[in-house]
Amino acid sequence: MSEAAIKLTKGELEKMLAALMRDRTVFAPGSTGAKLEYLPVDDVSDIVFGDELPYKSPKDVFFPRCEKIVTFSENGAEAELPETQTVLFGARPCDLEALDMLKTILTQGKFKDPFFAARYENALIIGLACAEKKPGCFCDQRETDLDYSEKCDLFLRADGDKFEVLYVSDKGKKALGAHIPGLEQFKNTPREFRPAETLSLDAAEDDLFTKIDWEEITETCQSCGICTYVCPTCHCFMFKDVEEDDKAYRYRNWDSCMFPKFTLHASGHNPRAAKRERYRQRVAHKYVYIKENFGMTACTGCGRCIRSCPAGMSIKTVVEGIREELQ
Amino acid sequence: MNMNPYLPLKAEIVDIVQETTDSELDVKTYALKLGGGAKMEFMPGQFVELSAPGVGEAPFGFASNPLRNDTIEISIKRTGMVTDAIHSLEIGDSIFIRGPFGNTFPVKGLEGSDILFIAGGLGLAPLRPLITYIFEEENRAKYGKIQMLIAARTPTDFIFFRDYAEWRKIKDVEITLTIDNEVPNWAERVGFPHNLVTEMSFDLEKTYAVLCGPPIMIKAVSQKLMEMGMPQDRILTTLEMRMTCGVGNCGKCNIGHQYVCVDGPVFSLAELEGMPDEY
Repeated sequence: MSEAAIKLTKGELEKMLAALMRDRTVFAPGSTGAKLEYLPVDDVSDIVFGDELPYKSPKDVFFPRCEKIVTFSENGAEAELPETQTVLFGARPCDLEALDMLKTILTQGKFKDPFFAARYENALIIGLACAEKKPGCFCDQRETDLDYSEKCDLFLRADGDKFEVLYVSDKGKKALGAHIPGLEQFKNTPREFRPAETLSLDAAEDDLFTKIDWEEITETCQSCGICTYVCPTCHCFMFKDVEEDDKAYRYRNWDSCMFPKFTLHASGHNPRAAKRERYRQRVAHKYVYIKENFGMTACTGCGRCIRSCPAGMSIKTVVEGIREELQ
Repeated sequence: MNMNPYLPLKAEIVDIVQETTDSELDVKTYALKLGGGAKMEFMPGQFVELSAPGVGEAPFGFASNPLRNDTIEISIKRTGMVTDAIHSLEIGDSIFIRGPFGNTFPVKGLEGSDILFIAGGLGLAPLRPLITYIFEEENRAKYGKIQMLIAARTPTDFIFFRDYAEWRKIKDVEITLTIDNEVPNWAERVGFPHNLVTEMSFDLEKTYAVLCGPPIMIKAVSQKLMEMGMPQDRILTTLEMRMTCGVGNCGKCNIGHQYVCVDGPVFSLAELEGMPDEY
């Protein structure tokens, strides 16, 4: 076995992605104008390489912002599960961590979300290391190594004008093997995870409700919900029915715990009517409730909510403040 | 339960009973039969999501006997878009249903105990599966004395009124009806449940209280029961929340680390005391 790792030039990588495009839909960082996001691309020249982190997470590749989940007709109700084979290219370690969490939450609980599960099973996920931390990122404090993740099929790291490639899963090995003859001769050593100081909350639920001044914390919050929109782990949703011709369709859309109507009962009663209650829900759900249910904190430190907030709020600062308060 | 928890089944409305007709309290009970002779197995306390296609979907508790599930009954108050649409349906029309969801009343745990049911208004509907389950001939002897305090605003606001005479014929069953304000020709009680419960005699050591009604009634009655010395883990209720998915994914009914749709809707007061007050 050679000591050399697999390295591809950008041209070789593009060739591989172009080949994958023949029978798969490839989602990769691209731009529709102003901002970088994960878009379906049908030409490798549309892929934006580089170290910029797309403003929105790639969660909608698996959990679209809007998707049809039921068709009602005279014959009954039917559902079509997604069958498209996809590639997600360029997902960063924080996002790979988040997708793995979504997989756990949505497919390993009591009920399996068949739409998410089908999309996840049909995807080849190619991760990409971040060269540098971006302003607002705190992945190093959230158990995410910006340089490596094994929660994907293939993992890439930019190295000069080349990309070092690691295969992580069998699916990844097979996909890479189709383009690199003699795959076994190369070194494929996963990097060791580098744990760092962890920003987490070990608070009792009750303390979060009684000892923290959420009114003050949320003074500037606009309840706009952008934090939940760009977040890689937020997954709340609502259903919306639409009638067209003789049929009715049910769509699943992203919803947000930041919106006043999120918990509004038909009777008018609203368990979380105030902004401070809704924001508390978001922080507590990510840092306390999911940890209680699944053993993990559903924040990867990707910094997107911090960079996107029009009021300059930071979940990192808020969590640090709570830790101090409850010490 | 099919593999896709979001996919509803088609059912036919085989009967509709107009329970109350007040413009502010228009309640109808729908009897539904699943397509193709299928049956929905459920237990007392569970709920379903009912769809009016093209309008939307909402959660409702079962209101019928789980041991007689050739048809299932659901009581619906006209309140919003979905319930408006359902109220416009007629016998023979289709409706879509998915479930059952949620936990159940502890039917085994209640065996050997006396039970005090306290229901306010439409709150009797989600208790009816447990009541009728207990009153089944094969089950009746497993439970002790059954007392019911059923409250409604006015004499015409009671739901399942037709059941009361039958229930009163069953051994060791005592039913007290009460309304909010005095009216002519009303021979039963007047007053709110939390004021009447103190007059009822039950053995604190061997009674479970099972409550359902408006949140304010549940809070007032459970407070009174605790003052009377009833342990919190013997006071059971069922919560209402906005619930889109029914399977713990959509986030709406999340209270603390629990989800009303999977960890509830049945909770004991002891459990509720350990949860944030967000219901």
